[in-house]
Amino acid sequence: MTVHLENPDWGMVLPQLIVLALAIVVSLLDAFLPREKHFTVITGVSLVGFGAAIVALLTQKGETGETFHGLFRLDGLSIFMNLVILIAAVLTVLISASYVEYLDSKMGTGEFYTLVTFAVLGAMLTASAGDMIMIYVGIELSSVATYILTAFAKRRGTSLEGGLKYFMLGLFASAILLYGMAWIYGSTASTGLDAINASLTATLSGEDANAGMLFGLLLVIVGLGFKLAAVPFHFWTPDAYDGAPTPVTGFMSVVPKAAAVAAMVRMMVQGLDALSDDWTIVLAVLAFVTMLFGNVVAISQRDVKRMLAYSSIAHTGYMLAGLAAVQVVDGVANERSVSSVLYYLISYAFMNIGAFAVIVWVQHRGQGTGLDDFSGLASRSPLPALAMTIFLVSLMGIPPTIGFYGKYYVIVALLDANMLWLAISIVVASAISAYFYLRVVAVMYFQEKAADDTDRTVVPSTLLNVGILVMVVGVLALGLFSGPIINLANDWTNLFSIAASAAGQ
Amino acid sequence: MADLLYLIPLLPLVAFVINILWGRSTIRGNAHWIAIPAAVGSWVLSIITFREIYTDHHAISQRLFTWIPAGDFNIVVSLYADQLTAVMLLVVTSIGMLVCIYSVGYMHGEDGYYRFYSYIPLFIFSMLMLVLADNLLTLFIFWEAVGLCSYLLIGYYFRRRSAGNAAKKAFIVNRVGDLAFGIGIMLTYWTFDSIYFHGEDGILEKAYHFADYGISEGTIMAIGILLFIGACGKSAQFPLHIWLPDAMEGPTPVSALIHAATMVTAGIYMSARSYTIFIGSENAMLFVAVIGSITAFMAASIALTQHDIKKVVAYSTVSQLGYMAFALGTGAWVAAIFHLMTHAFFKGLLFLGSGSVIHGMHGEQDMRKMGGLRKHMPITFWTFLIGSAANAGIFPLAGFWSKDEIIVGAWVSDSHYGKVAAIIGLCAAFLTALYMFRLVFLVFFGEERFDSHVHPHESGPWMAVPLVILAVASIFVGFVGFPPEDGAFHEFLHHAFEHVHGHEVSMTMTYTFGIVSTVVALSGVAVAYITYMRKAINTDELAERFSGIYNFLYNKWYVDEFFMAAVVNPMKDIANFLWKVVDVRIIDGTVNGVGTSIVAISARLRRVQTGSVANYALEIGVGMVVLLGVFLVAFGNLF
Repeated sequence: MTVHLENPDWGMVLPQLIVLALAIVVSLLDAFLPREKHFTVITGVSLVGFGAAIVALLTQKGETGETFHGLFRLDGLSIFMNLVILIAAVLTVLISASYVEYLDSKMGTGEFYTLVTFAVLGAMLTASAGDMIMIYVGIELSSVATYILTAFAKRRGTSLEGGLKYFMLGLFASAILLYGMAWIYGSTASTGLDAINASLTATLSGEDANAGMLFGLLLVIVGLGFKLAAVPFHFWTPDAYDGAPTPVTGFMSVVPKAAAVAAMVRMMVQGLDALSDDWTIVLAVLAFVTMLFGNVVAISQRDVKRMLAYSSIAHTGYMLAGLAAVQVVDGVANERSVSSVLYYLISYAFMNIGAFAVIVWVQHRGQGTGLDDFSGLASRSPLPALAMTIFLVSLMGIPPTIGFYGKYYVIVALLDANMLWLAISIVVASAISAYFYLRVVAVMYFQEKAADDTDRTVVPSTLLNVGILVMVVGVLALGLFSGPIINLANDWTNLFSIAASAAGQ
Repeated sequence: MADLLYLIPLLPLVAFVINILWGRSTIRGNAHWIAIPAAVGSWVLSIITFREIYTDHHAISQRLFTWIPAGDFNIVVSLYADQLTAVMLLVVTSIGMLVCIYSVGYMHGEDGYYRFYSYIPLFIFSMLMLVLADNLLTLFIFWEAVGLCSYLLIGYYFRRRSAGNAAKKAFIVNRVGDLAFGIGIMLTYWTFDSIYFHGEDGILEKAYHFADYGISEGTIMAIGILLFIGACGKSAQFPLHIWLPDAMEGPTPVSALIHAATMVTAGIYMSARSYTIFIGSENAMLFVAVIGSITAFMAASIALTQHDIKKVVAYSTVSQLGYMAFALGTGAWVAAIFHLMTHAFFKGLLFLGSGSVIHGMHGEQDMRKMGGLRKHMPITFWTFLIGSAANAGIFPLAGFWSKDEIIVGAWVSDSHYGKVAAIIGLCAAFLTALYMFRLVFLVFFGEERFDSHVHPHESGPWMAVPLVILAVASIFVGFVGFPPEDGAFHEFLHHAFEHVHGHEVSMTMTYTFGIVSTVVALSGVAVAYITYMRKAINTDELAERFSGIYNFLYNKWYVDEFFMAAVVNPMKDIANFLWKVVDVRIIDGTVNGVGTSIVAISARLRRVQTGSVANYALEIGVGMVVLLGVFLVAFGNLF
C-alpha cells in the first residue's frame, strides 16, 4: 500500500485545534506569568478557550466528513459528544478555580488547567474517532491526564493513593483494551471502523462470528467497561473518586466517562454492528449488575463524596442499558437508543457536576465531605442546600428535573427494544437510590449541627456560585425543554446512522 | 401578531420571576411597578390579537416547542387563539390589570407585599396559558396551576388559622373535581386517540361525528359528565361549591380577580371549549343544565340570609356561575360566554367595591355594623350601585342582556328541561335583585350602625379609578350583544361554535322575556326597598316565624354539614384504619423488612472494596474470565 500525502481538512478539526492551542497557551502562561496573576488570567483564558471551541463546534452543525485518512470523523455523534464534553469542561473550570487556588494543598492553577485541557482534548478525539487507533490514543490521552489530576493534591495521602491505584489498574485495562483491538484487527485485517464493519458484513452474512472475533469484542467491552466504571470492572472508582480533589471527581465522573461512552458507541454501533446480537446481551447484563450494585453499595456509605462515586457507577448502568437497546437491523440502529444515551450524558453532566459543586462549596466553608458536614446546611445556607436538593432529586430521576427525562428516554428506548426486564430494573434501581440521595436531603434539612462547628473559614467563591446557578437552571430548564435536545440528538444520530449504513454498503 | 402570541403570557411570567427572586430583598414596596407594566403589556397585546382575529376571522396558533417526543405520543406545547380564546384573553388581562392597579391602594403596607405581586402575575400567566392551550393536557396543567395560585392567595394571611383552613378546603374540594377531570382526559385520549381540540383528527371533529368513528353515545356521555364534574370543582357548582364562600379569606382583590372574574369561569370555559362532546349526548347536557339551575337558585337563596358583605357577593358569584352552567346545558353556548364576560366586569366591580367599603371601614365586613355609607364614600356608592343593578339584571345594564339571553335560550331549547330551567332562572333573578339591593340598602342607606370611633373614608385614586372604569364597562359592555341573539358579539363568537345551529328567536319572544325579566328584577328591588328601607316588614319576626326555612338558608342548605357527615368523617375513619392497621403493620413491616435486608446486603458488598490494588486487579481479572468463559461457552461456536 502506498501512502500518498493529502492535506488534512483543518477546518474539520478546528474545535480540537483550539483546545490543543489552549493547553499550550495555558502551560506557557503557567511558566512565564507572575504567580499572583495566575488565578484570574489562566481561569479567564481557559473559559474563553473552551467557549471559542464551543462556537467553532456549533458552526459545524449538520456537516459530515472525515480526514486524516479516516482517523478523524465529523458527524452528528462527534458534534453532540464534543458539545457535552466542552460543556462539562466549562462547568469544571467554574467549580474548580477557587478550589485549586485556595484549598487542598494549594495546587498550581496553570498545571491543573493544562491537565484538564489535555484530558478534554483526549475525550474529544475519542468522540471524533473513525479508527480503533484513534480511539485508543484519545482514551489514553484523557486517562493519563486524569491519573495525574487524581493525585493532584500531592500533600494528601489519600489523593496520591487514589491516583496510584487508578493508574495501575488503568494500565491493566488499557492493555486488555489494546489486546481486544488486536484480535479484532486480526480477524478483519483493518483498524478503520467502517472497514471493519464492511469486512464483518461481508464475511458473516447470517453466520455466527468466529471465536477470535468474539474474544476481541469481549476484551474491548472489558477494557471500555473499566473506563466507564461498570461492575465488575469498577474497583478503582471509589478510591480514586474519594481521593481526588473534589472538582476533579466531578470532572472525571463525566468527561472520561463521556469519552468511554463515545468509544463504546463508535466501536459497537459503528464498527461491530453486525455482532449486535451478541454484544447487546453482554451490555444488558453489565447494565443490570452495574446499576444494582452501585445503588445497593451506595447505601452504606457515610461520606457524600464516596456515596456519589457509587452513584456514578449506577448511572453508568443506566447509560449501558440505553446502549443495550440498540438492536441494529440492516445497518440501522434503534435511533432512540443512541439518542437516549446522548441525552442521558447531558443530563448527567449537569446534575452530577452540580452535586460535586455543592460539595466543593461546603468545603469552601471549611467543612469536610462526610454526611455530618451536611447536617443543618439548610438553616445555615439555604440556597446551596436547595441546589443540592435539586441535583439529588434529579439524580434520583424525579420530574420535572432533567434526570427524570434522561431515565424516561432510556426506558422508552428499552421498551421499543422489548427489553421490559431491564426497564423495570431501572425503576427498581432508582427506587433503591432514593434511600441514599434523600438521606443527604434529610440531613441537610432536619438535623442540626453542633453550634461550635459551623463554617470555620470562608473562601471567596464567586465563580463557583455562578457555576452552581448555571447547573440548577440547566437541571430545571433542560428537562422542561428536553424536546429540542432529544430531537437534536435524534437528528444527529440519524445522520450518523445514515452515514454508517451508507458506508456499510 | 401570530409570532408575538407567546408574549401575552410571558410578560406576567417575567414579572413573577423578578418579584419572587428579588421582591423580598430589594424591590419590596415597589413590587407593583414590576407587575402593572407586565399586566398592561399583556392587555395591549391581547387587544391587538383580538383585532386580528376579529378582522381575519380565523384562529391564530403558534407552536412553541415539543415537550415530550415519544413516538405516537407527542406533546407539542403550542398556543392557540380563536374567537373564544380572544374573549377570554380580554377578560383576563383587563380584570387582571385593573386588580393590579387597585391593589396598590388596597394592599398598601401589608406584610409580604412582594408575595402578593408575585402570585398575581403568576396567576395571570397560568390563566392565560389555560385559555391559550390547544390540548387537554396543557389545559389541565395550567388548570392545576391556577388552582395552586388560588390556594396560595386564599392563604395569603397564613398566620390566620381560618385562612389556612379555607385554602386547604379549596384545594381539597377541587381535588374531587380534578379526579373526575383527569379520568375524563384519559377517557378522551382512549376514545379519540387525541388530546388536541382542533384539526381534522382533533377531539372536536371526532366527537361531532362520533358515530362515524364507532364511538358509542354512552362513552360520549361519560366523557361529558366527567369533564363537567371537573368544571363543577373549579366553577363552584353544586355540590362542590362549598369552597368558594370560604375562599373569601383571601385579600379582596384576589376574590375579585380569581374567585369572581376569571379562575372560577375556567370550568365554564373548558366545557364551552369541548362543546361538541356535550352536543353529542343529550344526557350530559341535561346533567349540566340540572346542576347549573340548582346552583343558580340555591346560591341566590343562601345569599339572602348572609351578613358578611363578601359572603353575599360570593354566593352571588356561585349563583351567576350556575346561570352560565345551565346556559351550557341548554345549548346556549354563546350566551354562556356572553354572561361570563359581562359577569367578569360587574362582579369584579362588586368585589372591588366591597373591598373599598371594607378598607374604608377599617376591616369591618359585617353589614349589620354598616349603614349610611353613601355620604362617606360617594364614588364607591355610585359604582357599587351600578354593579348591583347590572348583577340584578336591570335594563339596560350589562347583566340584563346576558341573563335575559340565557333565559330565552333555555326556554326555546330542544331539551324538555329547558322551560323548567328558564322558570328557575326567573325565580333566581328575583332573588338576585332582592339580595343585591338588600346589600345596597343595608350598607349605603339607613342609619349609621358602626361604632363612634370608626370613621369611614373614601378610598384613594389607586382604588377609585379601577372602580370607575369597571362601572363604565358594566354599563356599556352589554351592548356588544345588541340586538339580542344577533349582536356583534354573536357574530364574532359564532365562529368558535361552528357546529352549533342556533334557534330562530322571534322578536316577540325577545320583547316578552325582556319585559318579564325586567318586571321580575324590579319587583325584587321593590321588595328589598319595602323591607330594608321602609322597614314595612320586620325581618327578625319573619325569620322567627319561618325559622325552619331561615335556618336552612342561613346554614347554607347544610351542604357543609352533609359533607362532614357523609364524606369527611367516614374518610377519617377509613384513613385511621389504613394508617394504624394496614400501613403500620402490613406495609411498613414489608417495606422495613426489604429495606433492612438491602442495607444488610449493602454492608456485605462493601467489604469487596478492600483497598488493596492487588485484590482489585484480581477481581477485575476474575470478572473478565467469567464473562469470557460464560459468553464463549454459551454463545460462541467454540465447542
